[in-house]
Amino acid sequence: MVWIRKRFIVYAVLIAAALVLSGIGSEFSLSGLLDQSNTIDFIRENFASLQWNLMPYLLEQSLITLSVAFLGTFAALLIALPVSLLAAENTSRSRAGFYGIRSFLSLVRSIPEIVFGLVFVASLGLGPFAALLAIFFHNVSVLGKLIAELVESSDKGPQEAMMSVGAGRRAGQIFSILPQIWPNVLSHYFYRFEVAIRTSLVLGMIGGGGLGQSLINYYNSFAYESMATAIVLIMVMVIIVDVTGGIVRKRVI
Amino acid sequence: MTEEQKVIQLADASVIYEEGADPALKNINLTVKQGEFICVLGRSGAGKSTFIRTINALQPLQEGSVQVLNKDLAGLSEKQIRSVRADIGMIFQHFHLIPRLSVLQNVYTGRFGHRPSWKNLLGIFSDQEKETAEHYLSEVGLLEYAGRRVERLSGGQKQRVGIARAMVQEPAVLLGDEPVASLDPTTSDHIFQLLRRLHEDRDLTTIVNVHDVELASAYADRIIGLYEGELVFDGKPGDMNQRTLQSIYR
Ligand SMILES: Nc1ncnc2c1ncn2[C@@H]1O[C@H](COP(=O)(O)OP(=O)(O)O)[C@@H](O)[C@H]1O
Ligand SMILES: [Mg+2]
Repeated sequence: MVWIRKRFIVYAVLIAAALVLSGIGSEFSLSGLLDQSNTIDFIRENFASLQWNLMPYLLEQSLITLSVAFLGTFAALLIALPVSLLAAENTSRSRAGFYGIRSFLSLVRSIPEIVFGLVFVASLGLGPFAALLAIFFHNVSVLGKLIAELVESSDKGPQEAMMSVGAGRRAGQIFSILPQIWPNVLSHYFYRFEVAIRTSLVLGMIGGGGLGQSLINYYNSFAYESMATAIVLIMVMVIIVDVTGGIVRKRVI
Repeated sequence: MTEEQKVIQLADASVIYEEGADPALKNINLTVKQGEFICVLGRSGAGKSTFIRTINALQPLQEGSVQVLNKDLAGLSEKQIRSVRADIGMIFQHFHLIPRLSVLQNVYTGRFGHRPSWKNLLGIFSDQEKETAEHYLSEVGLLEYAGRRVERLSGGQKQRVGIARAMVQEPAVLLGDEPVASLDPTTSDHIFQLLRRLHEDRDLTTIVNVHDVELASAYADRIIGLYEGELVFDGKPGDMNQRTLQSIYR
């Protein structure tokens, strides 16, 4: 066993212990895993008879969900772009500002969107606007950090060229950095948009409107066939966004 | 020499990058006159890039002074430095063009130092500026590529865009930091012919780093040799001999 070092055995024991503890914590049971007859029955009963008459209403709700995800992330992108220049080591004006903004972004990012959502639903009332704000703030912090890292790893050459022609600091940075990182920015953006659609569904469940709210309402009133209809619509929506994102990314890069 | 003729003057100029490290430039004293074509020779690490970069304030001095176009670079505000840089064109070994922009768009960026930032960001250029940009594109022989993205050019073409971007500044001095080091010998020769022509047409003061002695001797009026940050040769190509070459490349 020449490949195995003593150290590995220690790691293996530690990981095995962690697995066992996690199994206990999550009430894992092998019989529960294997016996899915109830689940299959549930799917067979409810997905077989989708409530097509609900479609117009559910489509409207899915537009709300999409709007929340799109506006929330797009507005976040518009704010994150300038913020990232302040949050990147090579473009911020002062070290204090750089550390301050980076720390602030970390702080905001550490708050889960659902917590933002609960706060805004409580303070602003039920509805998609609370979900919109939750997604917006979280994504400013996520995109701000991701784009700042792109700015930091960008090629310094064009920046030097813009300095040497005497361009203004910020204008020079925008021209020399943004075109380089643009494909990656869009890539991050589409990923965040896809994530935001899922988040927007979850936020709907706590009162943020849209398809998520319909879903939880059907669930709470045992209208499982209607719930199944909503789930199918969710899957279609996520797949469409995924495919569109892929196409756009390919075109830009 | 009158003040008019004196374009650049370095006095006891030293650059030290890190405390305790050997200076990258040691007590350099030299004067550049209006209309000279200078090549800077030296081994890798001799301080050629550092020297070039002190002239447009990309690299500040630790000791001594550098005067460019009758201004001491040490005392200038950020805005004044920008205005000096706007009058000095620079080309680079790796071209440093803006990716994703077209050839013509890249040339426009050469005007940035002469204009307010908001106009640069909005991309508002006068008819005259458009004419100037196209004029220099045709001077470097790339007018037909104006709309092409710069990524799709060859190395030699990219350097021509770099030169057009520098020329559209209508600079008083043109600097080159090893502009042909990434190009093949024939293309290098063409680039130097172009630099020489631009220099002769408008008496443009030109200072270019090269590591190829042949190129320097063929095109320069004056050669400056650096060795470990020190000025070890300053004279005409004809004044170079085995011994002086030895002092540069020992
Ligand atoms: N940014 C920097 N930080 C620290 N040392 C540097 C830096 N740039 C250059 N040097 C050092 O300064 C010396 C001169 O470098 P450079 O001017 O680039 O030489 P050349 O262009 O002739 O190759 C070298 O020893 C190099 O390692
Ligand atoms: Mg160099």
